[in-house]
Amino acid sequence: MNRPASMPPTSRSWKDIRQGVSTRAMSREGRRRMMLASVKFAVLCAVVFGCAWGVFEVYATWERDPARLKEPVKAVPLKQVVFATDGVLDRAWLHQVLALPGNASLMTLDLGALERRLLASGQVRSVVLRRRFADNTLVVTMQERTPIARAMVQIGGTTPGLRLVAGDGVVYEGVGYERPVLERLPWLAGFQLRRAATSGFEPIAGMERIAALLAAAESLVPQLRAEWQVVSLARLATDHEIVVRSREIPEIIFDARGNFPRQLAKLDYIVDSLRTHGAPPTARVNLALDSQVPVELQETAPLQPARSALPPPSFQPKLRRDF
Amino acid sequence: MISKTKLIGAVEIGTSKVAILVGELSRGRTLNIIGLGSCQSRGVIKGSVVDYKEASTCTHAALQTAEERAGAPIEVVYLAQTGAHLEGFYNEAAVNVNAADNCVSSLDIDTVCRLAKAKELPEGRAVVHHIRRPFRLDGRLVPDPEHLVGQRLEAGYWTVHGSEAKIGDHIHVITGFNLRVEELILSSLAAGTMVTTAEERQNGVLVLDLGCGTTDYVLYRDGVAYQTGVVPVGGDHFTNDLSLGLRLTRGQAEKIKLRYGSATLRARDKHEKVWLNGDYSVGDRQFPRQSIEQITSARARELLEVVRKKLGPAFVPEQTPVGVVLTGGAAKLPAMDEAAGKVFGVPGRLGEAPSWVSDELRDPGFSTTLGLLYYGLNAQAEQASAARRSGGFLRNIKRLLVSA
Repeated sequence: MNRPASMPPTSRSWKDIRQGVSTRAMSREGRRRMMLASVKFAVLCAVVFGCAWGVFEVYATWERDPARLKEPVKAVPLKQVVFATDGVLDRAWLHQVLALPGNASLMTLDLGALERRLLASGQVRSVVLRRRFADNTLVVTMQERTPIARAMVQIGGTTPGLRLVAGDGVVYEGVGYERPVLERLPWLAGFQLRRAATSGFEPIAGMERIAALLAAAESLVPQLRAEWQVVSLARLATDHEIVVRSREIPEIIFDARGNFPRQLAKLDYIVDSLRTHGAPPTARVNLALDSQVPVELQETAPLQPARSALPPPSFQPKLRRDF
Repeated sequence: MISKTKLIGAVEIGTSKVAILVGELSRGRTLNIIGLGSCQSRGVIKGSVVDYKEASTCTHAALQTAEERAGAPIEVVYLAQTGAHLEGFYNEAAVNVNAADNCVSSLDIDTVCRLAKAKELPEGRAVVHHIRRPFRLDGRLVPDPEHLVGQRLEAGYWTVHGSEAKIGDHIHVITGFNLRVEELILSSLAAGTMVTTAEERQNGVLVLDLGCGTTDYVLYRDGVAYQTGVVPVGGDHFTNDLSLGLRLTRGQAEKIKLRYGSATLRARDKHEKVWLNGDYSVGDRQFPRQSIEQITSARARELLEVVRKKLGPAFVPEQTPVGVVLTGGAAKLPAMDEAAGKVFGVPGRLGEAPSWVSDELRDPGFSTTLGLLYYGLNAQAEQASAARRSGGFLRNIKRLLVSA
């Protein structure tokens, strides 16, 4: 707002009187208070200046020689490695993979590199590494993959080697598993391995359905599952069929898109019926045709008419299974 | 920005005593009195500092006591100002309303207020207060003329000014304690707001603050201080007259005044005598009671008449229906209210502090310091509301652009 040119100046106010007095004009208490205020101000200034100087020093050192900033913490040596996993890998394997030098210190550890080193093994699903400064410890917490099948893999002209396949399709060289565990796993067939860009192989596609079938079989018909020797993915991509070879039946065909518990129930019933009726060995059971289940028998001698003389298939009533 | 709590020191450096109250202002709305410091004044005569060192020593001692009792350091000081150097004058100005539709704008108000305040003072004088009287718009009284329609806007200010040197002395006593004086308030205004209600001030009332060395007065009309003044006569003069009249020391005269003094003649028996000490000690003697009363009543009447004379035509009994309200230490002289009533021709009474004031502070001697705190509370509340009104980034930007 512009002041009119004719506006007279305002009179001098008491607020224009200078309030400051010389130190000599102050009382002892006044001087003490002023000194206290000055000291407070000086301390505040010193703190502010100190903080600013500290920040500048850190920045300058960081710019000039970043390694110097790390030196003090480098001196903290690594005392121990704490290892926790939900699988079968042990400390020996961990130490072998990590390959930590004897004089390693907690701060010099490159956790990212160590993590990558551990994850290079397909058996490791996830890993968390953290430094615990309280007792200079490196804590490694790991989750492992569980194998659902095994495969024989030949790379180039080398001898074929055993590999394990997890539910997510990852193929890896299993470490630490007991032999009976591995022997229970069915062989995987009808797939092609592709080399991954970095190392190892790319995950096998469609293994989720295989995993679902095997899990259902393991829980619902474990006696049948124990007989399964090979699981083939050869017709999975084209016909959505999973072909299983068991000791008794050379070819059991499952519908990969269907209900596995229902198919397994049918299989169980068929196998049970065939055994009961003393049928010749079965060549193929096709469970992928929804309501129809063609059962192909192997060519053997015709059925004996005396079969009716055989004892009834079961003297105990068979319990109905609902799936 | 107003902090959540602020410790205000209300300081009155009087002729007889230094009184300090510490108030805790919370959020600019509530006030708690948390400290009190008081001591006998030295180096002050008739409200003016004559011995800086002595005045500083006793004031600082009182400030220290007040801070110790409050348990926290005072942040700012509201200082009462009195003394015979204070004078006042009335100045008014008028402007024609600028707008074509005769609607009063804030610019008109600002212009008329500036003109009314812009009276130059003699060298060495500084303004203490500009007290605005109600606006007049085409002759009618209006508290706020903005947006009203009229042709001629008038504003008048009662300007209180004082000697720069004497005001500076007062301020330097406080700054010598490393404290800042935030507001300087006329003693009579501080006391007046404490012992009268807003309604009484609206109707018209005269407040007399009878101190030891000075008598401060303020005449309220239409809700505002219409006229103020200071008479360099106070309770000390009663003592002085008794000392001279009865040939006593000042201490003895003070004792006699407090025991037997009266603002009117009440003793009927001419032969009634009173003892100086009454303890049969050596030098104890008797005085006629009527003589004491004659001296004190004559001085009281004279003092009140001086005030009335200074008020001049401004004091109209018909426009002061509430009467005269007395406060200050000397108002405790018996029958002072009666004497005031006789001199001014209106009812007189002793001022009382509001009911929320504790017993310790109900003495009339604390009405000025209480008023200072009350003034501080109002000032802070006004600042807070003004900050709220003027707040806002956009509004500030707009103001900047307009002023550019």
